[in-house]
Amino acid sequence: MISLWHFLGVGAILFGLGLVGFLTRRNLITMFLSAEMMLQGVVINLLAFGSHHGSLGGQAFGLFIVTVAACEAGLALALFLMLYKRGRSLDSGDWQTVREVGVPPAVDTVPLPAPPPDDHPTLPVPGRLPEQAEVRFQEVTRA
Amino acid sequence: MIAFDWLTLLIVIAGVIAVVMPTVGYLTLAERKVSAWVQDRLGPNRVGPFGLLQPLADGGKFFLKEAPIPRHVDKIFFLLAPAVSMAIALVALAVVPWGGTQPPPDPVATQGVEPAAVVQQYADTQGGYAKSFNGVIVPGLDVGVLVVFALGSLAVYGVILGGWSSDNKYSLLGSLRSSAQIISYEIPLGMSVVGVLLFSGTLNLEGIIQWQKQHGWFVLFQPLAFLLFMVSVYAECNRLPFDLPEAEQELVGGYLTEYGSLNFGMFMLGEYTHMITTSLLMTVVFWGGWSLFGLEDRVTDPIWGAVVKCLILVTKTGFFLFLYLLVRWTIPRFRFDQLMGLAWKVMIPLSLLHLLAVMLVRQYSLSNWVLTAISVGLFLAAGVYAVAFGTGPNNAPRRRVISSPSPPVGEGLGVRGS
Amino acid sequence: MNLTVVLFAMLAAVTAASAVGVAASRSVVRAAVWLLFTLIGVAGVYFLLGAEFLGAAQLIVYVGGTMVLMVFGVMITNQGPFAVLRTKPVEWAVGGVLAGGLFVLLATASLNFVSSGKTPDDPLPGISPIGLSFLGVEDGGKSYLLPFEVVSVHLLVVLVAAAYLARAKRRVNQVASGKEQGTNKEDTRQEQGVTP
Repeated sequence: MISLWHFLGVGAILFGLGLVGFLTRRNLITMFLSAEMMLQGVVINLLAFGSHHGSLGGQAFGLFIVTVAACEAGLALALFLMLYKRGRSLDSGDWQTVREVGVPPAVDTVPLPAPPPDDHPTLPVPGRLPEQAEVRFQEVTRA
Repeated sequence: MIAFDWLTLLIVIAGVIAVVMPTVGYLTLAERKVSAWVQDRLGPNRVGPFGLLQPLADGGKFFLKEAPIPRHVDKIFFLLAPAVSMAIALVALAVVPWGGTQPPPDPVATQGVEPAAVVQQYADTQGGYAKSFNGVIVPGLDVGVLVVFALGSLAVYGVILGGWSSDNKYSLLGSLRSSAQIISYEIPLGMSVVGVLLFSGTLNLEGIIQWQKQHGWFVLFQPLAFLLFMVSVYAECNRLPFDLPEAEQELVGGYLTEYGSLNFGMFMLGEYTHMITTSLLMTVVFWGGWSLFGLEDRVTDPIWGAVVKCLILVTKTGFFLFLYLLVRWTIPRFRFDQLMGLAWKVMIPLSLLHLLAVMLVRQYSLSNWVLTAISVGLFLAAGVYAVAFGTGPNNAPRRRVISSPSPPVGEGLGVRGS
Repeated sequence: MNLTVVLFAMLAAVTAASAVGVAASRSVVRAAVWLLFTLIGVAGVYFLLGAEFLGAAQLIVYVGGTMVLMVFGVMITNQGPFAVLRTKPVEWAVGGVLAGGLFVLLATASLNFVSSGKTPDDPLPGISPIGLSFLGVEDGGKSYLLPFEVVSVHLLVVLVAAAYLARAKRRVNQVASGKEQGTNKEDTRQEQGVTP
């Protein structure tokens, strides 16, 4: 039988994996995605306790969290687009200038890769480039 | 607790698949026949009498052909995309009624009653509801309409995944178009239904049918909402006036470009299943579902009554499916800015005004027919406004056109070599 | 075997597996797509918990709207050396240990509940009580009218702010460098597209 702790376990798994992602990644978008995952873990907890006690509070809080998360996502996406337009980078280490006053800048042991030149936008590459096939084709035709 | 065993589950799954697959197959045949009729051709007529076995031949071809997977694609998501598209379309079918239904019992009043009596009353009503016949796979879902919309908005993910993982410019362009289109048209879709929900007071589809049975069909009171709903639904299904994501003439096949054989067939199955779901939804929300001016109550025998209700619903749904096919061969495709302009400049303001009218009618308890007049008036006013204050037909090029010097005669393509 | 158990096992497996995908995938787009499946699984868990309205709202708001926007943004900004994320083993170790410790803590804490808690099979409050409490009709429960209003105003403010932040701007550096004086990039490209 499914009881309270099963749901709490799912919430804990989501929160933990989100924490791993948040701590290990430096791309702003991935950090944001991980934060969303942690938020989902929290909502599961709220709902599980709400249904455990048969009260309305859990669902109400869940709805508020979903609304606020939607706001946050819209704002974050706008910020990402703006940051990307400015610096051609979404690495959190590249935005040292927006730190608070009096905080020393974090220094990277390994320098970050240089931002790409401001070029025409290109499409993302999901898989392998078919270069090898072309090379082989050229070899065949040459022979 | 819901009774559950594997046998029932398998029977339901097999039944749904066995009903949906042939329906979709014959829908494709109907599409080809209707197109032939519109274009004064014969259509498929070789396999079986009048081409009636053509879907079987097509299905066999889907199964037997090789499924090509290009080397440059993202394999996991490339194979996941058709599955997502089909699975979501089939799940949405679970919520929509296809036969006679009973609305679920209302919540009971708990003040001043003993807890034990409340529990007993609740158990009685729930038990009675569980025993009654319902032509829905998942009866009594409190958030029926919302779930259908949610799953409809999920359907875009099959398109996005397929387009992105194909690693092809046409595919990606098609999927980006699709996402923008579906985001835009979901707003009028949702707002046109809110007017219905304000009257019926429930999100449950069976409850909406019940209200219409008592008071009259919603299309009589809110024809404008029905029009907006129908147009938005066409856009959600990527049907022809709005089929920019897969426009063959511009984008080869859009997100479908790299797909073949059974993967392509699954996309098709998802798309046509979505058409069936939305036709059922139009029937249920605006055209009274299984009710037909009380005629269905003349049949008192329970079994025949269920059959008659199912037939009424299926006939209405078939009409909307036929309309889908007819519209495809009647209205040419929009340009992308026209598509966005239609959603944001025409349909969203109209649906907002309509919603305002519904609120006013509800607040001051006016007759429902006032709403009909307002609907028609809004529609006409929009037309008058467009003619009086519009800037003419919206098909002039937006950018500055620079006339190019015409090439000398004889230097065109194909002439140079001779 | 019970329907709830089967459903919970499937949903939890989907949710957890795709959550692992989010944390482990090296491409931003793949992380976003795995997060999509996580969100769908979580919505299923909401349904299982009896919060049907929240599950449907989650599907519409989050999965339908937010994730489309996210995938959009991710796809467009996904290029250059940052498209593939690399993480050092030390960072993995630190993050893994912290998150693992937190998970163990949470799991033990939630396992303690099972001894003291009860597992009621009562019907949960449906949609109408939620709607009533949001609109301030106190029906024995609490009224959430004020937070509801605050959240709606918040939504409006954020909408305006996001539109302001992401609006199309002229490129200052290009105009200053004198390459494309007086025109922004889109105009030039369109003209180039028109002239043969």
